[in-house]
Amino acid sequence: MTDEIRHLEMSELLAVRDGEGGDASRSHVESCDRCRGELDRLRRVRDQLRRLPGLRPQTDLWPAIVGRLRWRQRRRWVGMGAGWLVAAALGSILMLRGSGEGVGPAVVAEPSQEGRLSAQLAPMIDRSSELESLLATYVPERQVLGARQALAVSVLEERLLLIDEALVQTRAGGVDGRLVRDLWQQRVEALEVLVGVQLGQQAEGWQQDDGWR
Amino acid sequence: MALGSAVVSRAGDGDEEALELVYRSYESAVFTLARRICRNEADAQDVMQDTFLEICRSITKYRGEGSLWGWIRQVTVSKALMHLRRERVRAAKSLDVDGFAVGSLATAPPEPTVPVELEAALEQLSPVARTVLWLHEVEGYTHQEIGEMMGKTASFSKSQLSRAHQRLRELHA
Repeated sequence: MTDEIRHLEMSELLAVRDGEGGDASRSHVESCDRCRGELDRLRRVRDQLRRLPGLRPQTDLWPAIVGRLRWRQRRRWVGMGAGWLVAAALGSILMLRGSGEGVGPAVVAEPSQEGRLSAQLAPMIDRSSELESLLATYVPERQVLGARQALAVSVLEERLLLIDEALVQTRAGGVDGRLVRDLWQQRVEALEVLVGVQLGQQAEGWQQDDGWR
Repeated sequence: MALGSAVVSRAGDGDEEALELVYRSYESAVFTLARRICRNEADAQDVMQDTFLEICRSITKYRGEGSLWGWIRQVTVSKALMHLRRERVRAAKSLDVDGFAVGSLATAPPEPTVPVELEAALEQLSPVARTVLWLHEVEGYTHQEIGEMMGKTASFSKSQLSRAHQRLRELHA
């Protein structure tokens, strides 16, 4: 027979510290300097962890967060507006057709140029609508954007807001038709990038499953 | 850190000024928690962003039952675990079931020959062990709660906590 002492395992020490240990473990700690010392050390580590200083991100994330919030609000408004995009598109085309009446030197006066602008505008409007439909499938809850991507999204969304505001203003008429075309072109370009960033991330995010296995 | 109910109410109405006040009040607490769970600053920023988007959208659900921080902390932990889970899926080929790298030993941190600071020692724990350690020791979650949040058992949480402390003992004498 040997009197070799079995010291407590880490899990047993933690259980004693947390008040969950059995009688045998507690009585062992009372009589064993080594285990008592280890228990004190575990208490000190916990205290040290709790005293670690708070941290702050290196960059201010609020602008990106509020940008995404505004985008959500805008998209809700778009949904409730039941196709303001169609109205804007119609307005753009009508404005171009009416631009031959002479609003100024920048206005398209020649029928051929007016027709060319209308022809350029139609596929842009179609593409814009197509991209909007794609974005409607975006589910923010299913993805986490990287900080840089979130910033890019925020910038793109702000840009789209400005473009859309400008497009709405063009419906009043008296605007250079080339400006309208450029606005729609910029809108399509911004949407293309936005779709790439958001839906690309989402496709990746959907591949997740139970990651603890 | 406590905010008045008027601010919370305004935030629920979508008042950006009130929402920013909520953000500024809990910015450090949320980031600290996210950073302790996540592998690096960038990941923690992702979690923080996602957390506050959720908070801004759902603050109307907070009805003053329990502390506001308790609710925000729960959202943060949930988002951080979701992020961690996603990261683990991406890295599945190089991780074993317990979250310790296998097959990437060449890139594993070298065994320290001198004790390191606690902060640095934390960084050297596996993400899962560090998460369990932080949630239990600092945030005060029970093993049962941690197990449920991670889709595991209380025993899993206890086991990870033991491993974390064993590793900390090796690193941080």
